[in-house]
Amino acid sequence: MSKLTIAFSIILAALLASSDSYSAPKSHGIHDEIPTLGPTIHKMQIDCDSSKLLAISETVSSGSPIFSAVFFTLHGGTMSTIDLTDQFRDLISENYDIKGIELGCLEEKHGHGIKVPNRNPVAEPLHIQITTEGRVFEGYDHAGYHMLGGKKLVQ
Amino acid sequence: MKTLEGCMDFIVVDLDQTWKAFQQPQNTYSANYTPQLSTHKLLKLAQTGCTLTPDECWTTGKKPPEPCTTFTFSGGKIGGDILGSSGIGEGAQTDPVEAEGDTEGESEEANNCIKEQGSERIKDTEARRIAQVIRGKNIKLEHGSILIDVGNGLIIALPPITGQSGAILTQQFIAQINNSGYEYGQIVGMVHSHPPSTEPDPSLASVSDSRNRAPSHSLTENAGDFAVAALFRDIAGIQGADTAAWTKRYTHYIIGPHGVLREYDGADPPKSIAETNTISEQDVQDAEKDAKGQCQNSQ
Repeated sequence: MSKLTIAFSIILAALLASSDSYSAPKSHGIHDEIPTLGPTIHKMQIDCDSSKLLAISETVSSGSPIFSAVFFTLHGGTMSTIDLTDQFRDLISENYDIKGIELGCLEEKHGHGIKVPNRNPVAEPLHIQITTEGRVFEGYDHAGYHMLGGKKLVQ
Repeated sequence: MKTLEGCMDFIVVDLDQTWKAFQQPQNTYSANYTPQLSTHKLLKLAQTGCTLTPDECWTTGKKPPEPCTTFTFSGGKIGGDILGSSGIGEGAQTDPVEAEGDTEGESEEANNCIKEQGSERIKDTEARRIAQVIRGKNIKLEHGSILIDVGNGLIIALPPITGQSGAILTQQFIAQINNSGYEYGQIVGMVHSHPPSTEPDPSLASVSDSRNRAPSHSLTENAGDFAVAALFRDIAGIQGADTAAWTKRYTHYIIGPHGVLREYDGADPPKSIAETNTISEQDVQDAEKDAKGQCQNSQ
């Protein structure tokens, strides 16, 4: 074997040994290190007697949370669905903290209760009642109703 | 009926009956025929080497020659029932092809002729129509349209809703659906746009736009397109819908940052997105063909 052949073999072996470093990146997919498009959603379903409430807090990008509520009630064997979002929009002003919303059933079948803390810690929270028919009232605490086992919407 | 041994080991289809149905309007055919066979069975059928699958009857519009009058199916004979049991529109109401969850061996983005040329065809056509409407809107904002199965084999898109640059609030959709009077169980998908990235760094914008060809997802929060679909499913379930069937019928149609429509079937994220928030180029390409109504079996 000539010196030239030996030298060529050595160079070829070296190239083959180092070929791993030239391999194309393995494509396992597209990594997502980017902000997720779409809202971030916190949701909670509370069942009180024959009615259900689906409460939703959603945020987009770094914006403030936005509250929605859909109410379901069985009436004469038919399920009615009521979107209460507009009514809550009127009630829950910027003074209240949606992140601190608590949900539960009101005692003695008075429907659903929603307690919204005030951003001002010394100010009164908002107490919202949703009756079994889906009507919305403010101030269930003044009516003497109590929420049973409230749960925070945003944990 | 004759049995053609060696041609079909898996399925019995009376093609005389199939041809009779094929002579009827196409909607009848797709509604009556397609949902009755599982994807798995039909894939097996196609793999047997017989050149006369029911699928080809569909795509070519030709009557199959005599030798393939009957296929055999190891689990029993399913000939006449294939064509006789469901009426027009049932295929859109309930789709056993999707509901069976019989997707073993398929890619994550299931793309096959059986669905594309059957019940999904109606949905895809409407999705493409509304996608064209959305493409005419401000590209910097997200626009979305919910697809509703209104019965009788018809699927309609609700008027597009415009959101922000990075999202449409679910409360906008909730308000629209409730005002429309449709049930959440009738939702079969959503067509929505992902605007081009506003990231000033071109390489980051490219990564962002590349990922946003598919439905969005977060590994750390309940966020993105799959979370929105899950919320709709929650409401559908409260209203009495079969959530498992709903999940399989739902389709995410994404108009990517460059305006290309892609179709991702199923409400929940596929494994790669659920586990690593990634999607392969192959799945992205399949999703594009899927939205165009192209499919692997007929290419």
